[in-house]
Amino acid sequence: MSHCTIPLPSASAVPARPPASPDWIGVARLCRRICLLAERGDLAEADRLRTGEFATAVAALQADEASHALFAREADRVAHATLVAEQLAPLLAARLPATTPASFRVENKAAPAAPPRSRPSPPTDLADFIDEMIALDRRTP
Amino acid sequence: MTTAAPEKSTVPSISAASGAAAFAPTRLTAPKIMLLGFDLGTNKSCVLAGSPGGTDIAVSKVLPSVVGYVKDGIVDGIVAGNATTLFGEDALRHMLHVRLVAPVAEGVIADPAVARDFMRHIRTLVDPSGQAEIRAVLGVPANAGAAARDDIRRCAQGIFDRVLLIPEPFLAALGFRDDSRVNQPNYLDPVVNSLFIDIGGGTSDLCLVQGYFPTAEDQISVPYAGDAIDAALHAELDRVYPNNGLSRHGVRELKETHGYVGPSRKPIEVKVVMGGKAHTLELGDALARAGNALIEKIYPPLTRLIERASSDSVLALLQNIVITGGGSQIKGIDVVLQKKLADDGYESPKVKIAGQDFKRYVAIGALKAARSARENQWQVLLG
Repeated sequence: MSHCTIPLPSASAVPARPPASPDWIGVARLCRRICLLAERGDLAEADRLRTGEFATAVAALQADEASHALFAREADRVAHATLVAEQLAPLLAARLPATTPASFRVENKAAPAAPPRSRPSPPTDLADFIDEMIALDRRTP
Repeated sequence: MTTAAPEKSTVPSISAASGAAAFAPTRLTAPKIMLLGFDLGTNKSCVLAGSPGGTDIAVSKVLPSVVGYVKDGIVDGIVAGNATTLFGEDALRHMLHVRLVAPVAEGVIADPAVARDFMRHIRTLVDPSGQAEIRAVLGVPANAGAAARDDIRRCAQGIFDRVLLIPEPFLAALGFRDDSRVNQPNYLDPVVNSLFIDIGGGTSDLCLVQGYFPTAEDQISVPYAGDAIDAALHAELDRVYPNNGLSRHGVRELKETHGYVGPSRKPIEVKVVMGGKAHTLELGDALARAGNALIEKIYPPLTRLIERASSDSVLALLQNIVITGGGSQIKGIDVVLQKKLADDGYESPKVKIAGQDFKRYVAIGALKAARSARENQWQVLLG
């Protein structure tokens, strides 16, 4: 796995958060959910939440201005969390077999060597090739 | 696609282009996205840029991979606009007045600061306004390790917004592919079954492309290519014609004009000016030795990759061996390699040259990849 260190923006680049009332915490959670959906490419669902439940909640709190700062902050957090997850996932995946409890390990000395894994059917579009490349990169130490 | 906000609400809108990372309130405009296919070569780089979702090419440029830092004490007006840094042909044109530095050597970043300057220049070519979000697919040599790839990412940080690094031979196959013929029954789709030999300045990269993303075992990078031929030719000329006064750049021009492989052809006479006087040099043997050294280096990995192919695919593969990159212009290279394979018993090999667009295939493939990449495949560079 590559150890690309990507610097995180300083805290001063992130807008100050509004008071943490229970209602506002709920709004912040909604905002985070919208950002996460957008990050994953599910823009239709993100937009449905934004113009529906989120807009209603923001209007009820009369917090239109604060919602801009909130979105900037939550978009930042989601982007960073995604990056961290992408970096950590291969490390965790590599550690999993070593931490398998003894009760789950099966020794079968008589079993024949597994045949070479046949290749899956070729990708049908270029984005699938890119997925293969990313998967190969993550498996390569 | 941008979703309009409700009429009386100031709730921030979503930028459809970039997911949460480019989330913007309605009072800010989502940045325009430009896709970039970038072949950062040792000697020559190629840049192709266009908008997402289209087939237009807004920028297409091949330029020498060189940065020129203007020397101290140069008189005003000698360099246009009194620029302090020049790039590509401008740098070479002013070689007497600048310190020339190559950002890349043997296919990998040699000088990060210079590489960043070069990438900034590329960004300016693609987006003079500096306002667009630039998503770049960059070609990397077949054997580029994690450290080399990280070097590229670090150099691109703060210059390109998102990147994807993809091996150059695969991009060359993708660029060479004629998309309009993909479904024709007799079309030998290079992405489905081919062996690409990309002979650049620093490395010669060979890659088996058989409908799957090539693994490390499908790719071989040989650190012998255009620059090594220049060095060999230069050494040979210095031996035969001492004090010839030829620069490496001059030797490269001789190679590009007269270079060949195969049996020695004589005479190949060229006139060079040494100390102000014209001299005729005979280059036949020197050019043959330098060119044939390349064949000796790339032939063994070529056969190793052919032997990796399954028996079902190898006959079709032998019909689809393609040479690209600057080295494809060496006269006779296709004929010599094809004959060597046939003489060694390979069944009906066919080696072909990629054609006049050889400088652009990696970048063409990179732009195709950029247009096909999904949102979550791009690597975001913060900074």
